Amino acid sequence: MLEIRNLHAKINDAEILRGINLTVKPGEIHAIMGPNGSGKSTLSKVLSGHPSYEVTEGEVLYFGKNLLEMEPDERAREGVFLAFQYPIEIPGVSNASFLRTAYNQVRKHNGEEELDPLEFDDLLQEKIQIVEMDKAFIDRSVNEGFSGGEKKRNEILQMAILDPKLAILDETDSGLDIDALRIVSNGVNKLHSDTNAFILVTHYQRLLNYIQPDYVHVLVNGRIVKSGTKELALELEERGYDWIRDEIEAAGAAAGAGA
Amino acid sequence: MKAELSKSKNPYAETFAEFAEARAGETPSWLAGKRAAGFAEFEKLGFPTVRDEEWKYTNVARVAEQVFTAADLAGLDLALAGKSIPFYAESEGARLVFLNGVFVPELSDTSKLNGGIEVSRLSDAITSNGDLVARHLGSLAKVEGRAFTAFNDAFLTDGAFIRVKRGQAIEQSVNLFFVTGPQSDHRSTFPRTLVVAEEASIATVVENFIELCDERGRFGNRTYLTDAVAEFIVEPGANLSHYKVQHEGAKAFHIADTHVSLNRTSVFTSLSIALGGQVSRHQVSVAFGGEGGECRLAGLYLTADAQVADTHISIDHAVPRCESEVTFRGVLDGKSRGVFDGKVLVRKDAQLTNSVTSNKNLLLSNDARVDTKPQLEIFADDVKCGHGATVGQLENDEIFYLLSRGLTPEQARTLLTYGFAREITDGIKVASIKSHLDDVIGARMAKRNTKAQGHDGTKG
Repeated sequence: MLEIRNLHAKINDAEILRGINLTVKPGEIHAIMGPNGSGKSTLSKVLSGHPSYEVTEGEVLYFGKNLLEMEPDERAREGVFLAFQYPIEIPGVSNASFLRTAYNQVRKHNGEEELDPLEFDDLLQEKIQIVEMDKAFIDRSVNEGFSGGEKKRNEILQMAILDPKLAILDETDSGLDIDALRIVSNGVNKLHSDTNAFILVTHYQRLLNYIQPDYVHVLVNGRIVKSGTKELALELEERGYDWIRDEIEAAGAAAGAGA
Repeated sequence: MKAELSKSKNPYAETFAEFAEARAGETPSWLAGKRAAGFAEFEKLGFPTVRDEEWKYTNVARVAEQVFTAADLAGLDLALAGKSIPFYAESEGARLVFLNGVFVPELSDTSKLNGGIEVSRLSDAITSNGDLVARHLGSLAKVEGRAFTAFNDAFLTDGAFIRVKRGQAIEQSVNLFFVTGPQSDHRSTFPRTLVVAEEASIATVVENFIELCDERGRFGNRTYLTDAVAEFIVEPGANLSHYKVQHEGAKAFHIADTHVSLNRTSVFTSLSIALGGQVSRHQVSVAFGGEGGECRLAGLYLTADAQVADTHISIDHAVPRCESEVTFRGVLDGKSRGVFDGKVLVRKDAQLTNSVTSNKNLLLSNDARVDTKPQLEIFADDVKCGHGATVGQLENDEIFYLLSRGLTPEQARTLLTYGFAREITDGIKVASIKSHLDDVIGARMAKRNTKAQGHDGTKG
């Protein structure tokens, strides 16, 4: 469903992504790991269409269509979802009305009938159980005054409602205590199916104890330098990222020597 | 020589002379004197100009350059007007209606208001409650230095009188409709409200200023002046809630002067909404006269096109242990302009004063502008006072967050604008006013969304 080819992107003239290649098929879970500043969050934001990032080279195909030509809201309606690393607080806008507007936009886009507030409330009551959230959160302003864990659970609730085809979770595990981590992971596992795919962007292996990835990729300096299975994540946990950097340098030196 | 004299004469002098003469003998003498004093002050001052510090940002030259004649009911179909006025559910059995400045008994109905409250037209109250009216009318709204207030005094004919009796709690809101209808182009009205909330009474008063559509259902094609004055006397322990909904026509001038006197442990809560008018101004002056008083003033101005909406607040903490809270929000679109001036004076004796003023503005276009000036003048040493003001546009991060969930840019902006206004709209306890305001915000956003989206007012 997703094909990223030689993707380069920059923000404020700083090149962050320097040639990403990645293929994601329906039903797959990909974990993208890497040290701070490697470009993990940038990749998430570029895929969701954040206006601050400029793609300078490469292409991204989403179900055969050019994703980069689509507006952010169009991407969302086509089933791309980004769970934010830092969910935004929106004072005065209730979770319920926000979610219903979003949900109905997706319905409309898919040629389905929109739900009225009562019908939507039923759906909301059902989905809110997935993230074990208090019902009071529904009427509160979006993320306003939420704790870090509540914000992340709210992201998963939004994901559960919108039922995306491709969900990108940008460091959703950061700042979560063990209970919240379990809830968030359960949510992802419940929502995962043969027809959707997940990209988990994470710094730590911890999340992968709860969610089994099919592939683990290591991002360093804006490139995927190593791909493997979840054993790679365990190795990273144990050994850190330095050995990968060393490997790259060695490979680079070898290539240089060979030239 | 004579011609020269009349040239420099106030353009309303002749009208006033005729007006006063027509009423000679029919009113109590104090009223005639009040009118004469009002006109004398108005004549002395003339309309304010932008050289006047208090009117620096609000240009009323267009008011000064034409002569408005007093509006009346001539040629109006009252039954039709009655059907067109948007009376909301809460006003059934509890309203006074003034059309083109004239009280309309056929459209007014106070049958639901019980004996705990007196609600009548001011001209009746002058007869039935003569002493009370004489004592209070103009006791707060002094004409000195205030041209529009003096102008109102000069042409004072009628208005609303409300007396909430001692110890009475009136659940039903009292709704005043000052409606400007057909035949009002280049005309003026002088609405007047006098409210006396007696000791330990509770009541809610709603002032509505609206324009009626013309025969073809069109709004906003008449240039008229509403020069309104309201006085609220809140006696010890009384609790008075006030709403002012200004939804005048797009070409109207609306100048309102509201005065409040708060006595010991009394509470005044006001919510002022400005939606219409090419130039509108709401001036609120509050004076604390007894310890333990509380005053909460909130408001929302929603402007577009070339509208100017001006809010001037002045709170005088003259006695100890009083609280004031001023919360105004502005949403400005097009080339519109907002003015907020909030003065809080804490006198030497007003120890243990609590006061906070906040004014936040959301600019939806790059051409909109706000001049905001909260001011504190403190002469007491044991007080808690604060003020703050912000002017900003919709946050890109917030918009992107909503877009990332599939909302269109238009939906995102509308939702965020609702969210911004909610701080004020949530405080509206009269449901119909709240839903009216929601509708207006929705309609304004829908209208702007259908326009070219070149100036979307987001941070670049």
